[in-house]
Amino acid sequence: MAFVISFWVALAVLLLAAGMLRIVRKEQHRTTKLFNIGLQLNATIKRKDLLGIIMETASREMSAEGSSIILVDQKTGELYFEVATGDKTDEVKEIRLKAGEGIAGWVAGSGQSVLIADAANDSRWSNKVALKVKIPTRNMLCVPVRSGGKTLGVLQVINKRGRSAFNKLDLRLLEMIASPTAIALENMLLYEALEQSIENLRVTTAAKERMESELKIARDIQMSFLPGESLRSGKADLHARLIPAREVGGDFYHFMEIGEDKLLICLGDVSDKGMPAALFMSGLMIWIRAKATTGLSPAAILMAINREISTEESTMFATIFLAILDTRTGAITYCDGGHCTPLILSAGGVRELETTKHLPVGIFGDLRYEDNEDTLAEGETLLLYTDGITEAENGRGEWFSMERLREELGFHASRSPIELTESLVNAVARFAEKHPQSDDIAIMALQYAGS
Amino acid sequence: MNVTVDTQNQIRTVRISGRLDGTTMQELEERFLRLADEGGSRFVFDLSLLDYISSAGLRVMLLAVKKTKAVGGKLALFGLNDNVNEIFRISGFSTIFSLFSAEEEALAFVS
Repeated sequence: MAFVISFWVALAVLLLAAGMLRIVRKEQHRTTKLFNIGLQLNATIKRKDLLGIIMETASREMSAEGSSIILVDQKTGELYFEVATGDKTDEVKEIRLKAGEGIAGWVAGSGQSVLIADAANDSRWSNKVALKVKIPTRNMLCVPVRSGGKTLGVLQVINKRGRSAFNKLDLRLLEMIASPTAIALENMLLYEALEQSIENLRVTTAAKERMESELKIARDIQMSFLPGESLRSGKADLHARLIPAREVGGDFYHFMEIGEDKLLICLGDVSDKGMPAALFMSGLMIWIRAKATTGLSPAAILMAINREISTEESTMFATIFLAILDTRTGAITYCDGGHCTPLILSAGGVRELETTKHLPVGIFGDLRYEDNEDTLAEGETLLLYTDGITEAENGRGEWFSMERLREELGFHASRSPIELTESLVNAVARFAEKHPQSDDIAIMALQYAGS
Repeated sequence: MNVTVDTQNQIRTVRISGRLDGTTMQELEERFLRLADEGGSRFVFDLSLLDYISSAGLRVMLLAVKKTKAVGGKLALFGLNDNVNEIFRISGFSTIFSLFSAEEEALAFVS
């Protein structure tokens, strides 16, 4: 009897063990399967390939006739189909559903799965998709694809192959497939966001480069208006520098020989910076060249230019100092259109040139300008500059100032024009340290060597 | 830069403090154009708290004087510090503006 009992016990244990082994095997099988699905889904992050893989995998694993992955447009909340497997793939591509519309919309909105065992008799079934794809839906499963609390889309399978319909176990399996799907989709979206930023960056960079190259061309054009940096004419020796704060600027200078013994010089500052100032300055340079050769005095030249460029509406103007030097005698005739008062350097020190102040050119067309006269003695240097020198700023908000300019000039009174301008430009740069230059700088030194 | 406006007896007093340069001129220009558009023709600019004016700042001043002249109005400036006064002198701008040292004089001029 005991033997019989122990036989039954042994059999029961054996059967139990066999059953557990089967469960373990089944669980192991499912784990391996899900692991493989995860591997397949992570094979790519390219949208078109990935969505295809998701649907093929879902159809195959679920023994479904068709499947679709419907994504949530994170901006609008709308649901949209990218592709769908099955025979009618192309026809599904266009479909967009409003937020909450249909079963997919409900699943996306609620975050809950839906099992429809008999579509024909289920009021929740919207036939919008079915009508478009012309696949009669008998039964279906729809589960949310969620990642980090956000619904990325819904995964849907239609019509189980064979005679039976989808059941709760199938729903559980599809929910499990949704989990690696979410990770794969998340990676895809991150990749797309990255690609988009790279593209944005590329477009911005291209625009910036185009702008920079246009500015560079503008700078070349503007620089081409200048007569160069140095000139020796009779007993006069001059050197000039122009350093725009941006690619192009509003400061300008000009010099040219008139006849055998006259030298015209001018230097000025347009009341703005950048492109508008550069355009105004370019126009001004053309006017100066045109009027300079007509034998007019500096005041007459400024009056003529002022008449040409002044308009009722315009508020752009230029301060300008224009002089004509007799290179045999040192006699200088000049007119000051509201510009920084020039300085004269001699062995005895630095003094201001006496000028009659007039308005800058470009303000009122009917203004009168008058000439002043002076004579440069042997060895004296006339220095023209713009406020970019005196108002050069350092990191502490201090200006280079008129005092420093005079002090600096005191050290270099007997230097040649090129040494003088270069040492001044360097002194300003040293003063400003790393502080960015905010205004254009123009400077010209004209030395009269005497006989 | 800071700009405030008060209106009394059809005279708009524009008080400008800080730095009037290329970066702040736009704000003053827009402010002034609005005042002109609403029919303002008598202006007093209080510059007693203006530290600095650049050539770009002078442009707005020029715009103001041109617009005011065009409608037969009047514009007076007062309270220029030494620095600002020097810029007005050097640029020749002091010849086209009516400059006063006290607010009462400026008000009397545009009344």
